[in-house]
Amino acid sequence: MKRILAAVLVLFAFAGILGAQKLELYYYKQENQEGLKKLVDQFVKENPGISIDLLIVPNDADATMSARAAQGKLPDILQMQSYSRVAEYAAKGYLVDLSKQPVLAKVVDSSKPAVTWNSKLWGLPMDFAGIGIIYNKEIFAKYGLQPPATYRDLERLCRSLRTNGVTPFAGLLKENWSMGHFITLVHTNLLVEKKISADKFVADMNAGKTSYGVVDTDKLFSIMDFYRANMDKNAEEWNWNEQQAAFAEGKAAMMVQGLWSYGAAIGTNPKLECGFVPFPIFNDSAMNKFYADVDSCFGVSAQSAPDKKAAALKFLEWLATPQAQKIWVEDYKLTLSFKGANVSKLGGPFVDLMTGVGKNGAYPWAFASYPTAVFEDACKNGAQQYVFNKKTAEAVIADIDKQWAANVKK
Amino acid sequence: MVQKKSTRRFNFILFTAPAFILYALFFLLPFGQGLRISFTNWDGLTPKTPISMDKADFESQILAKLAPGPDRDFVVSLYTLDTSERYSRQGLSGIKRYRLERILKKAGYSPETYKDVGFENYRSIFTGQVDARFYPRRYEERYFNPSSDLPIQIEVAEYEKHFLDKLDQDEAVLAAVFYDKAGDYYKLSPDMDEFEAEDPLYSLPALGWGRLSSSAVDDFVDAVKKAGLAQDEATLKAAIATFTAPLDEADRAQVEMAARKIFEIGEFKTLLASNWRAEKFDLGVVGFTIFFALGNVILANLLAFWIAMALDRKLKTKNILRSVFFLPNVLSMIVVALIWSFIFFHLLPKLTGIQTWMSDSAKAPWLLVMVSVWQAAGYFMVVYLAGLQNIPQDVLEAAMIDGASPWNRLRHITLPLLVPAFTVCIFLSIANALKCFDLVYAMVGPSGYAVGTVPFVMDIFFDAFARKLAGLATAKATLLFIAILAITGLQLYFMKRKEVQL
Repeated sequence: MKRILAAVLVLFAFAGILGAQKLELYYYKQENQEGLKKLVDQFVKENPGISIDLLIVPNDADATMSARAAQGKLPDILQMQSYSRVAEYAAKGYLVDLSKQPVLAKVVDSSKPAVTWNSKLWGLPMDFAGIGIIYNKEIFAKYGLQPPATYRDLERLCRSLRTNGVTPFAGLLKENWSMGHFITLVHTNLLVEKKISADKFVADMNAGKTSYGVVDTDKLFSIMDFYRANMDKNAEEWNWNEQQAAFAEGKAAMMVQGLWSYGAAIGTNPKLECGFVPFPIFNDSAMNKFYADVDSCFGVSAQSAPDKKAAALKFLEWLATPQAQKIWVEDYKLTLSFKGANVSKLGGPFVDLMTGVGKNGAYPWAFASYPTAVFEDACKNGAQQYVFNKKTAEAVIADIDKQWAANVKK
Repeated sequence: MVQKKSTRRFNFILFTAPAFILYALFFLLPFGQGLRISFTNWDGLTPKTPISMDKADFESQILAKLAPGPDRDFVVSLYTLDTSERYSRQGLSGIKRYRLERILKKAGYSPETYKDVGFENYRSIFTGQVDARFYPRRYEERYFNPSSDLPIQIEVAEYEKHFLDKLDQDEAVLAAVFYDKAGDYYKLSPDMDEFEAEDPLYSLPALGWGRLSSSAVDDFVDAVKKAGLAQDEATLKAAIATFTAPLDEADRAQVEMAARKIFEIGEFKTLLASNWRAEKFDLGVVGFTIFFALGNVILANLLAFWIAMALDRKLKTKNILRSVFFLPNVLSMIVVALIWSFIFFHLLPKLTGIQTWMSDSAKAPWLLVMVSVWQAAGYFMVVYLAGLQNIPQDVLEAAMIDGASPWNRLRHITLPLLVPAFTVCIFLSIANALKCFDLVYAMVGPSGYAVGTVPFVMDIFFDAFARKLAGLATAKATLLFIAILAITGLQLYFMKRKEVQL
């Protein structure tokens, strides 16, 4: 009898395994892999019929994604960057339309444009991220310095840091994306001065009606030069690790980064006290806002089998539950786009970001709306080549215009 | 030896046929597909057949154009209409996928970014239409942007070579007001610091009283800077006049003094910006690939041959030394890149005092060749050692008895008998160097274009995945394949003729 019972149990167990929906979840945000694993484990525990394989592609993530898309083997759940990337995949028909999913109703309205294409929603917006100046509170306190509110303040600040023998900015010039973020950050700010909204600018660029040089390019490039001049002399040799180390060890007082790098810095030096302020472009402090937007979102592949799609949607639905939100914030250490999300556990800089954005609003990540090739090549490589003296300011602008036109024409 | 017919058939089924099938499946088929893509404008993402499509579009663009019949039924069987009014299909493979592609092609469906463009990709490569960074070219490096602040210090050699030496006497006098030599640097004189000159403007009492806005000061500083760069007295005066109108007498004098200073600095900025430049040459993708290949072929083979000659003697430590030289070849390229990145970033600056290594476009190509030679030489050494040990000792001894000098023995016996080894090594080093990707990607990947060390394959990678030009990338890959085939083919042809048989 016992034997038969055991056999039946084993059979059931096998049936369970065979019946389990095996999903593949692709993600590129590698800063906190254990956190995401915890999240997925919790989901699988609550839904024994579904199992999820994690697939991480940290660098050149899009290369892998598009290669798999072309093979027809896209993972069931995709973590994507917002705006253009979503639009690109949605336009090619790789994504499931999520407009009618109940989980999207739980998302704050301001984050919906990030996943909208053709007036439908194609992703579940997840984390809200900001790029600005992360500063070391200890160093600032030591020299009696205040975080900068205006560009003039920032110039003064850098001078006093240098006279005290502290490098103002931990640089990251060896990898092109950091300068790519920086040039678009300054550019989006300068659009405000010309009273052009980022959306209108992108639309006009797409229509071929304007140029990237519509802003005060003298200012754009002089701020880039200023930024470079206040890095370590050798910053061209620095990559992500060197930047994080220099900041975490207090060799440099600030870094211009997204908050994703706060996690890395705090990992190296848990005692680090950081603050977060917008990179000030103007001398009118009211005009200086965080460069912040929805960074990543989850989409579901249209190529997956219907039952897998259903399982994937179940996962997205589950992400809005309180226990999922808690793990997301406390372990994956990212903000959330759900209404009423509690992100107070994330630590100082995140609170700075949320209060700053709550008080003054934010400038959108215009680069996320550029055609992806323009941001990947003309902006990132162009800005880096400018800093390396390989390209003149005029050539950087001209190449962005040229590549933009070529990508819209297609 | 005559084989039985059944044995021959057996061998064919067991060995030859599978080889042919695998060859067709994993080489000919992908190659043919690649070749086909190189004649399209594919962006690397657009599926050839839609995966999901709006109901209306799907019906008008596809279903309406298919006549009733098995083809239409096949298409209808694949696509299902979902709740959001879209037709979508699952991932397909093999024959089903091919059949769907064929049907839709016949129905005239071709996506905007997956179209045949004929030889357009090839034409644009040969007529210089692709990105300028692809070709070798001259360009000008400009070290100072006149709208930026003057650098606090400039290295002596840099300042003198690229700026001071180009100036005439008057200009040199002006330059001397701004920069003074102090140790290794020319330092900006504190009197001529634009930031300090502007500061009085931002601390005008009127600002505190609210009679003046900080943006008005910004605009004024901007105007004065522009006038200074253009050395336009009239604009300067007009700007001062408007700005100072609401101010007190004492403030006016302060503003005027500050503005004059900024104006004066402007003259020098123009001078610095127009002279502190240098003509440079960029190898481009094509040039760097050739440079890298030549460097590798010549240096790796010379080094390997030299080590092999040295280790072919009766040394006590020869086995250890052979292992030591071969070791780098066992390491993965990524590990090699990490090791050398560490050396270039942490070790060499401390040892030599020279700070920039991999980010210096004059050094980087050479350093990459060096690392790659270091990695490859061990392998070639083994081939040369094997070649050397195959040379019969009796021939060499006979030559020695005949009184041939060591040079003559090397020249007339060793080298000719080693030609097969050279053939293999040179063939391998050409092919490997032209295909190089991992080493450069790991060492300078994200700054490749800024340093000017992008090999051909990496450029293809960027084209396909960052620039969304998969069609062009495939065309480049095809050309690279042809180039490698032609170069190694010629090399094999000529070197095989030089090989001698004992």
